Amino acid sequence: MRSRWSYVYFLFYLLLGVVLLFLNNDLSKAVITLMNVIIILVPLIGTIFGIMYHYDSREFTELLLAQPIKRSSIFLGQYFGVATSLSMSLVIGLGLPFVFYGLFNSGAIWDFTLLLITGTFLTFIFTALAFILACPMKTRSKDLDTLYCCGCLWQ
Amino acid sequence: MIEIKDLHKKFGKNEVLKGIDLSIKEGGIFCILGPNGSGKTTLIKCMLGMVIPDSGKITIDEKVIKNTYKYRETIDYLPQIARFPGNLKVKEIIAMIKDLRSSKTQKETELIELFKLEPFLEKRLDNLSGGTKQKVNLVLAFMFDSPLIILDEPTSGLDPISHLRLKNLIFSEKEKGKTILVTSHILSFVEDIADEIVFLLEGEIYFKGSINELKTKTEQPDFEHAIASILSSSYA
Repeated sequence: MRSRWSYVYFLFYLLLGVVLLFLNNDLSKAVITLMNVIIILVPLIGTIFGIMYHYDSREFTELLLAQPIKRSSIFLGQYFGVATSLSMSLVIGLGLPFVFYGLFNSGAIWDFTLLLITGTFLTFIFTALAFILACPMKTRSKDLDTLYCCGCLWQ
Repeated sequence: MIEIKDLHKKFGKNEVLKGIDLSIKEGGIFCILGPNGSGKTTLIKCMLGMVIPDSGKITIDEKVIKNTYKYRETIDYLPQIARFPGNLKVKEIIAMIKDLRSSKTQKETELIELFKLEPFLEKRLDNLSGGTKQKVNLVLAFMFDSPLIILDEPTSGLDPISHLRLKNLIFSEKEKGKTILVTSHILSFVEDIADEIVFLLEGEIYFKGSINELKTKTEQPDFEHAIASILSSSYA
């Protein structure tokens, strides 16, 4: 939760939510627009953050692997840490403007919940993919090339 | 204390360890030397379970280490590169590693005092110089008082005073009966501290014994020339 980029990600969604609600003046239309945005953005951010985190923490992970704890505990801990942080940025970043706009008094609450659930699942799936891709690769550039190919296929 | 039998490891087509047989007794300072790519770090990582060997057996304190992790409670490790999460403070990383080991040790206080880290305890790790990070690395490695200590390039980035303090620390740990494995390229440091050296060349043990025995074997007057003669004959 101390990552600067998590806060940047949170502020981005906060701003996006505020702007969409201001422009549309309609919760349902804002939710539809956001669904189109997150379906592209969340996988991209999840994989980039996942790969960047994995590479930046490589040497520290070596230190952790020398401690008397299971390998699976280390990697699952890192994975859930990154995925949860990104998901919280998404949920709180989008949730705040919608709640203040009056989400609980409207009929769009279920659609919005579905949006957040979809975004969270996409975050967890693509962060996992990033960690799986990063493990066998030795260089960041190879990983980012693979990521680019996956991104093109996803599109 | 450590028994390694017929250890093999390949990374793709590159065979890094070619049937290593090594026995390290309890107590003493053992330096693992060799040119770049000789397999020093891979050997250490096999002992720590970070690298799974293709074949062979490693036992520490008469227990086979394959597929286990509890044995690492008796090992302290200093990684080659001191890189930590940049947004943590020094005291937080120390508390975190203590927590991971469920340890109640207070030894870090004297180590912090030894390496003069008190002014840095509240500082973020990404604001520290390389040498200071290495001192933090040393505190994390030595604070658990384990019987086996593995140090990978411990002098990296240290100023001369800290270098001296590290040597004294290693000697005091040896006097407690601990087994210390060190890899280093600094021959003067190795010559000062080593009881025995293990020289790896192209994935095999070229020599194991004392520095004097190495000088006799290579017919050289000093340690530096002995190492140089091995390296020049292997590249000839």
